[in-house]
Amino acid sequence: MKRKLSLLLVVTLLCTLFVTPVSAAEAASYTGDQAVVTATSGSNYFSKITPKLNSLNGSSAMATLSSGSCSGNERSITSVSVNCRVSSGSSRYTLYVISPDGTTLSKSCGTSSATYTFTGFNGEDPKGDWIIIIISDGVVTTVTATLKVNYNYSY
Amino acid sequence: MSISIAGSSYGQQAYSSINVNSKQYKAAADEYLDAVIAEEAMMTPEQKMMYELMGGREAHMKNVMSNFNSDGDFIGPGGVVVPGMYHGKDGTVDRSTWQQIISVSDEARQKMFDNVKREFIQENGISNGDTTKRSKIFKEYQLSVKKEDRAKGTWTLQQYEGKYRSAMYAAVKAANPDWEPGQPFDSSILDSVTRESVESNLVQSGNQFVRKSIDYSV
Repeated sequence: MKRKLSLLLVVTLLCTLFVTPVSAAEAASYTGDQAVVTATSGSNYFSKITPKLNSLNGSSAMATLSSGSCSGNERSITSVSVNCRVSSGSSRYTLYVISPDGTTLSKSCGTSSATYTFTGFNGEDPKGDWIIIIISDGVVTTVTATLKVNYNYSY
Repeated sequence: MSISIAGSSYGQQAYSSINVNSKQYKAAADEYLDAVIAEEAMMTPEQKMMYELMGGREAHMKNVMSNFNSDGDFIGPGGVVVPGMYHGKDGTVDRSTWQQIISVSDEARQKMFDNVKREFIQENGISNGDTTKRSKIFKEYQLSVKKEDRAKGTWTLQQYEGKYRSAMYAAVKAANPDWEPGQPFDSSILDSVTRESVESNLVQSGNQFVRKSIDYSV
């Protein structure tokens, strides 16, 4: 009897699991007075590379990178990183990143190639043009930068 | 030949054509001068010669200064950064200080809504970063309000932007559940989605907007 009851319990539990809608990846959107359950959320990223940027004696060097098409309707950046490949003989420099909405942040960078992670853009929508600027602290700095933006999205 | 005087205080430096008392110079010096002096100390003789040929520290600082306006705001090359939108070295100021909801004019919200709708129709619902004009919308807004409100207002507009877009997506999906972004759709479907209809269903939750209620159709 106990065994039958345990089996019944297991079967009931299994039925519940397979029948209950999985909500982790679903969200309801709405049109005002009618909602539609849509497929929905996830994470994605884009990565773009600048041409070689040369900053001479404090002059700035700038490049614009487009995000391309982005997933979702509502998006939220989770991380921004810039991998800077620095040419030999370069001076230290300051790296500026401007997001599509105009938020601008900087990092002080050394003479070796390195990846710099920014947290100040988290939460923003990454869609659109990003701008990378370098300004040398010395005679010359030559950098090729790869921007990578990770984001969550939902429909 | 430029005259260099060692020291990290910008007041001690003598230049022939820079006003060291200007806000523009002081902002540039605050951001760069210590680093420039440190670089000078490490230059090889060849680098030093090249440096002096290019005008030395004075030329360097003038180049750096061109990225700051007369109020000392960082504006970048060609004024690409709107004053008030530069938040310094990443991590030194918490983003919660500017990622806040504030009041944004109806006019600004309407411009954002109209842009979202135009791009949604133009791109058949795809969020195309290559063609979007959203940066222009944000910049126009930023230049229309005082500096202190630009970053917070931009964040607020962005929150509205996402909700406008979601409402348009939902409207098209409701009319045609099989529709996917990239496929054409009858744009008249969006006639019923107005800024007011979207906003009337939003409530502030912290630094974001959430929908007040969700009704499911049966």
